[in-house]
Amino acid sequence: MANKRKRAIGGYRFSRFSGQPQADVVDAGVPPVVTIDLRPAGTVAVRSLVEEGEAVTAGQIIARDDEDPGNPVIASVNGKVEEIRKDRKSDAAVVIRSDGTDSWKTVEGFSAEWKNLRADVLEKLVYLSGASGAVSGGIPTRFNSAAIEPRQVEHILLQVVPAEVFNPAPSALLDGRDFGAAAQGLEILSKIMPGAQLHLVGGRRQRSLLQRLQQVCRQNRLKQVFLHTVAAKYPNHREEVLIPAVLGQDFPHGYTGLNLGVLVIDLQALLHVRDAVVEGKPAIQRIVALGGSGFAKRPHLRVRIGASLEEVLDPYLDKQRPQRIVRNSLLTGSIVNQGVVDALMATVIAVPEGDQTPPLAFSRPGFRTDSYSRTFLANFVPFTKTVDTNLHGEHRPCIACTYCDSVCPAGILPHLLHRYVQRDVIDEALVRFRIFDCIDCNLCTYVCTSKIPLAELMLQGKVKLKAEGLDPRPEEARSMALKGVPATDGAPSAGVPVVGKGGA
Amino acid sequence: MKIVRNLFDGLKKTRVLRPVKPVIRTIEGIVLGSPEAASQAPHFRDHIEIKRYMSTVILAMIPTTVAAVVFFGWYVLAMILTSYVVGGIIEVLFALIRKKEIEEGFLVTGLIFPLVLPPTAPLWVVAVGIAFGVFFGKEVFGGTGRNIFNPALVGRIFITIAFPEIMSATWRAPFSDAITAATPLAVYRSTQGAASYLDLLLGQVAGSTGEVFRIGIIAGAIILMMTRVSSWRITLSYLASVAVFALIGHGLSPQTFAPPLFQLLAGGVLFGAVFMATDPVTSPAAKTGKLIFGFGCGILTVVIRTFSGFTEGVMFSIVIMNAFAPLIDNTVVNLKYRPTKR
Repeated sequence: MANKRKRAIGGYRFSRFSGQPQADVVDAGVPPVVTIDLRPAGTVAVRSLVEEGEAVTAGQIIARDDEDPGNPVIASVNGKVEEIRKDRKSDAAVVIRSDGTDSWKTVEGFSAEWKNLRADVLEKLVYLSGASGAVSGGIPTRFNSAAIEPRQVEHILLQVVPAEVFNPAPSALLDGRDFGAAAQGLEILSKIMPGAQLHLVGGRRQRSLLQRLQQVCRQNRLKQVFLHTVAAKYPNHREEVLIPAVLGQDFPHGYTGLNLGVLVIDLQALLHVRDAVVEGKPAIQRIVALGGSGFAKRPHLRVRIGASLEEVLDPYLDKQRPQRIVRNSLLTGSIVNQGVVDALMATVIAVPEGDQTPPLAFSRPGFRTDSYSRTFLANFVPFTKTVDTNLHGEHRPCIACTYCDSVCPAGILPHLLHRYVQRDVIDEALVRFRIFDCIDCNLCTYVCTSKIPLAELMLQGKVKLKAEGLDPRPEEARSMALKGVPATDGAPSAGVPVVGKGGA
Repeated sequence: MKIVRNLFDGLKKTRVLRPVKPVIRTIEGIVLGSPEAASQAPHFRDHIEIKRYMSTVILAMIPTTVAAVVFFGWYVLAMILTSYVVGGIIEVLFALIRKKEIEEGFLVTGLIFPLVLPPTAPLWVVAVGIAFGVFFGKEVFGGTGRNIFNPALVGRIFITIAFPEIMSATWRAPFSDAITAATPLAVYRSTQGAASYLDLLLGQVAGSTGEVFRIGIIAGAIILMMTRVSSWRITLSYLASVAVFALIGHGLSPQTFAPPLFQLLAGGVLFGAVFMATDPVTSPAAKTGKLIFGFGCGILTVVIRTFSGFTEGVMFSIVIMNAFAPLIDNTVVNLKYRPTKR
């Protein structure tokens, strides 16, 4: 590695929040109905292979398209197809009514003697099981499951950085398996991607866990596995931060780590890969951590993909107050009160809707209130902190407190950029001030003293710049020799794909 | 709780009270807080808000304010009240005319202003000064966040120039009604006699109401830096450059330059470096810019103290550097983000 590693800058540690997920795993059972998204990558709907009324089994491929990069869509329960929503672009889905049985169809060709399997068989297992779709952007296989080929992968990063407010517990994700299972997953990946170096990345507290994993890998004669520690700050779990920090490579903003030849994978996806190959188990269920004070009990749930969150969460929700249910990340996640479990779901967070604040809130000592500023006692006493959705203040003009500049993980100046966008001054100056380095982590909006939606304004700025043809990223990307980017169409999206970001 | 909220909702709907809606909203905001929730990601927000931010500055000023009242009597409290009432009226009037929210920045300005006045300043001078400062220092620029100069200093400079005999001829020492004519800096200039450092620290010398109790100001500085409300970069670079230039100057010409420690502890350097130069609105935002800003304030303070007709240079140096803050920011940011291809 000739590149110099860059220390992750900015960021913010969300520590001591009450409502952390508990490490136990509870089986949520087989849901009566599942709604399976036909847009596994969050973009184009995949053609469905089943008809309404057709019987399907759990593990069966119900939609597949091998032309464009993408992954098959798998039925997560045994039952009958009740409805196929294909006209509607926004929620193309297959609705399956379950017959209540909890068996599944194993993927053909798996073997307990998996070490003897050839790479093409391994790839087939990973692809047909749906495991390759458990990573945003896909795990590369010869089946066009990602933008690049397996041989183009140079680094595989397993990240377990607990950077979000609520993070799944690695022990719960293992769900009864031992470290050997994770090591097997790594071994399978390195067989599929023989040119790739393996890296384990965690916070300081994950170091001993990763060391044990490294040891197991060594016992299995897995070639060198590197261990890295980053601060457990938000958003240090994102590939835009991890790749520069761990590998010392500039991140191609507007593209993904895969375009650099780097696969960033979490523990759950790794175990999906392992289960597909070793047990022939399709990726039909997820371990989802419940976090936030909106839940009365917060176990990890073993739950089928496509299950309605409303039904799954009902036994756990605190119904005294209205709750907001958020997917994966309080900073960037979408509201999923009416949603379903999806293939990239790692955490479900319930926080009380905060239309009320205590009287004279601004003058209280604040034993349980989080703030980047240290103006509350919570910064100095070891009590846990609470979360609700209230803004905790009125909108005001920017006073240039520069908290946003200090926490920005991209090292840019949100307080300056937002003024340009607010005054509709959309020109090269914004590009020069590196607005396109923004990774939409929303941390600037979080810390803003004046409650200005900085990240939203910067996104608007990026969209407008792109519309004016001032997006420098395709040009920059050309000099970076990215993989899997068609020479003709190099235009990236204005923001970063939202799907699958966040959650360890 | 619900009753109070309903009461405010009722008041806001009352037709007669419509012109004073910003006032009602402000009181509601103080008492009940904002009911607004995040509509999209991020779904939760930092608890810091402008009210908390400004309250922390006021909290940091409490030691020196209390000391001012103890040293110079209840009259100081009357000065503070005058400042708040007159400045507050102007602030509210502007909010009503603009139909905008009343901004909390005034809470700090209204307290800083009487603290930088001599304890002998008549109340009408306090009123005129704060009115001028709030009007020309802030409102004409569009309110808090848009002003170029520190409003309290704009008011202070105005009355210094308009009423020089009131503002610099008469001082009082703590716990005494006797009118003296000299602050330690003035004494040093005429006789080269420096007040004892202990007296300076404890505030047993003549000076502006809020600047004398320097232990209290240091406590305030610790509060502000620990809470991340003010930038240590400005405060420390200001103090360091005063010390360095005083050291060099004193070394070269002990007759003209006062010694460094005396320069740091006498006059308004501490108060200025801790509470006024650090105003985020009127100081540079870039980190390097803050260092340059503090450095500039320090040099100018020593230069004005030593070579001008004024014995104290803190307020002029900060206001001069305020004018340079946008330029400093611009230069620093342009150097950092050069228009080169990466």
